[in-house]
Amino acid sequence: MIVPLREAASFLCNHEWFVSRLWQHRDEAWTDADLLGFAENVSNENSPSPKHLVAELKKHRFIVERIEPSATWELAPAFQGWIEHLNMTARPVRSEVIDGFILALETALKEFSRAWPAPDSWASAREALQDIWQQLRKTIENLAATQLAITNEVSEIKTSRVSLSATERFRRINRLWKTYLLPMLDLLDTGKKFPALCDHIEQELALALSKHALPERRVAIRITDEIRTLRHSILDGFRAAHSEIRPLHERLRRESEWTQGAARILQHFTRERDFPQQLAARLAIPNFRLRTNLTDAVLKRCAAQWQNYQPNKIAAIDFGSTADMTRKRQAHQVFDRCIKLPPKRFPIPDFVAFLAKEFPDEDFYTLLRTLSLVLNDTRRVDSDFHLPRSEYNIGCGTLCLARVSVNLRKHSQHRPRNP
Amino acid sequence: MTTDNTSIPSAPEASPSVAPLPALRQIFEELKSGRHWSFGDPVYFELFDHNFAAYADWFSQIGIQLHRDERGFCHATLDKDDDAASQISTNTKTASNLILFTAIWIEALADSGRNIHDEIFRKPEGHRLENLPHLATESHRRLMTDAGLGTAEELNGLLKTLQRLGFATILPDDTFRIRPPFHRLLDICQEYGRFSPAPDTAQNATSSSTPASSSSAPSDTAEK
Repeated sequence: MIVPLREAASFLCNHEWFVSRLWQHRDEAWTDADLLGFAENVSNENSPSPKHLVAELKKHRFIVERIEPSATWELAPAFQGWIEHLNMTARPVRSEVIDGFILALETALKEFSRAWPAPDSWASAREALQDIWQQLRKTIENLAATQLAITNEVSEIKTSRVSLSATERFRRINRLWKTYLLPMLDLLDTGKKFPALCDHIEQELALALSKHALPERRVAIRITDEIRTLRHSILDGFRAAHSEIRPLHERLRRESEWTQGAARILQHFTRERDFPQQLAARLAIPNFRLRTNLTDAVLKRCAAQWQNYQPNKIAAIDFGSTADMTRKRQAHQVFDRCIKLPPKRFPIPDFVAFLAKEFPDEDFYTLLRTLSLVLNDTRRVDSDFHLPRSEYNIGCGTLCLARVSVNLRKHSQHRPRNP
Repeated sequence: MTTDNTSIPSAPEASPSVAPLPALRQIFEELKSGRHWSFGDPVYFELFDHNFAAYADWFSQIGIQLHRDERGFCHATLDKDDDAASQISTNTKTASNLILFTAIWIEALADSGRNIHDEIFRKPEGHRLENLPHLATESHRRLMTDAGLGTAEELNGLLKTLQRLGFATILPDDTFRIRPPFHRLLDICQEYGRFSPAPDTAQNATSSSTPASSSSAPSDTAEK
């Protein structure tokens, strides 16, 4: 069924907001429910029903069914291309596509070379010449679109710093760099495949002209114009893009590696509470402490410094008296709940952090007693201390001690303890 | 028992016709504490431009390698093959703290989407301790606490270490600026990111690399 232009244009004119909405979500696969949702979001009391709008959209073939996922829709490629044309949105083209055009150009050139010397093949030569021009024009359009798309994306990456992480920025620029820019330069640069073909075309045209056998002079002039555009503006554009993106690509690659390295370092430190010795050794900050003997005078001087040293009194933890029995019972209950945990929960690498997380409602003294019960119950529990010292906020207090790892002794697993 | 040895080592057997190197004592004194020299340090141009080869030659004879980095700084490392130098320890605790400091800073800047290099090196107004991200979030604060750097005073102490080593300059208005040698800390993060090791093999991967391969920008290591 052919869609009448007037009807399609009228639909677009009346429901431009709906089409705009679809355009914003053009990279997604829409289900019918999605389409109805878009229509509802933008409709008002004067609008047709969402169901009618979606039906019209399908009827005018502005959207087509996707191959997969099934029962989903997308903008019809031709319609999308038209909007892109209006918006001057450029899509990059892979070098493989350009390779395809080059192949077609080569075929057309072969045909032209075969046809122009023979007077009876004048029509074929004219056709081949037209073909060369068409292919060349398409190639240049695609190259120009690629160049523009690269420039646009680079500009977007540069300006959208806040919304993109360093790794994401690098991923996007690296895609442009590796997928489009370098392969394209590899095709276009002086002495490479495409310029060589252009040289060949120019030679062939010149030869045909010198023999007064050029069938369509007007087209030949266009072809030489296109080749000039390719040599100057397109190739220069790609070279300029290369020069512009190279430092950006380098910088983002470096930032991405810093970020990945930092994340790994912090991950390692979180897990081990320490760095690999080799990592610190990389910095190799010299610490000139040479082995030597100390004289008596030096030792006496050191001793004198400590002679009047008075250590601070060690503050005792006040467990209280009257409420203590309740806390004691609670501590035993917490302890029992700990050792009744399924065996797969053991070993617990950081027991105090575990207590703070699992028993957030218990107070400081109860959790401290629980820790004491665990450390003292050597019959059922294996505990071990690991440096460095850490600070834990448990209950309303802060506990400062080395990390305690806890494991159940095998024979005692799942045996509750009587308070 | 150990103590600081503050005396300058006896001059190696150099050619007697060679003029004595200027500021040799000062350079050796600073080198002992792990100093990195960059633009603004009194001895920087002596080291970096005029007499680098002569200094490098001199120090290599006592087991110390001088390095000149094209990003604008010099530093020294100990030659592990040298018997005398192998008895000199390296300060791994300080190094670990500096690496942790750097990693947290990078992570916070990367999350904020800002240009990491410019934020660290090119902040016109300088950095303020209270604006650093290290104690701002719970997760970072916990890491800093584990390393014994969980308070502003301890962080300030680390900042003074950065200054002592030549990685930063603290200004009279309590701001500080990061200096080119800080690139060495970034290089360590970069290598750790570049190797892409599985978490369990990270340590092995790091140990297999050599300091000479440390920077992305090539560094100029003096060779005798």
